[in-house]
Amino acid sequence: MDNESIMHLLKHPHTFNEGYNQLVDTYTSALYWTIRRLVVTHEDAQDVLQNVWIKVYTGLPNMKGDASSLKAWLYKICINESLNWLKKKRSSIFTSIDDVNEQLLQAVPEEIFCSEEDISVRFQKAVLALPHKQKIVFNLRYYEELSYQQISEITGQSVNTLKTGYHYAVEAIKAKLEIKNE
Amino acid sequence: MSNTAFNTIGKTMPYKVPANYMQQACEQAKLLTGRVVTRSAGVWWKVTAGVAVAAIVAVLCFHWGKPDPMEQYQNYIARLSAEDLANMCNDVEYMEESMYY
Repeated sequence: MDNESIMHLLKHPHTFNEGYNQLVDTYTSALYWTIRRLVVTHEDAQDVLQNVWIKVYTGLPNMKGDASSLKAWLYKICINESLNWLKKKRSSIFTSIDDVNEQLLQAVPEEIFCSEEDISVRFQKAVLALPHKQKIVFNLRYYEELSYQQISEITGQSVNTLKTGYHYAVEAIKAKLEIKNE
Repeated sequence: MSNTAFNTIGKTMPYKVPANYMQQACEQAKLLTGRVVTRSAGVWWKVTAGVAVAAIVAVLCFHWGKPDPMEQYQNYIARLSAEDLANMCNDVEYMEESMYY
């Protein structure tokens, strides 16, 4: 079901729950993977996803915007919840969120179904090693194929900053993969 | 590395996911449609009950906290010395006399 039809159902109190159920069917998988790429472990992703759906359900009646902004709104909640989760994982409040990357990289071997030398694992490790802002832009652009305008709505950063961030992220990932290949 | 290769190479996710997880996650999320309403109703019930109990406790404390006037008077008399009592009696006699004359 498309966003237009879902929004139509959500606008009327008697079809609200049906609209919400359609929203869940449409976006659960995409949101799960967006979270999983940021928090790495399945258990954490599961918990964050539950929090996301609670926020979505309670926030939908007050949501401002139309069908075109629904996707960006969902991803915004998803990214914020994931970042909050990662902030809680820091060893102290003085630790930067980027310092959590090391913890996340250590969790990778337990979470994969193939060899650590597999190109897809090396790719994920290279993404995880990126600073958080670049990682978010990269994930939303590369995997979710969102436009820079939509990513701008989610992160609040300007389109030019996002383009630069994505470019640096791609270069950093390529560099990590090529060093390993040499 | 070419852009085409780069654009496909990372799309395969190497992470393990339990079988049927997505279906379970959808079902769990859909349960909210019943739970959130029940939970908010539960909260309102607790808030209402809490306010009612607090009001009853406040009324009872106010009632029990008020001193009994008779007891207060008896305590006052008990604290008076013999001289004070004699003075009080004289005052009463004087007042009575002034009423009649």
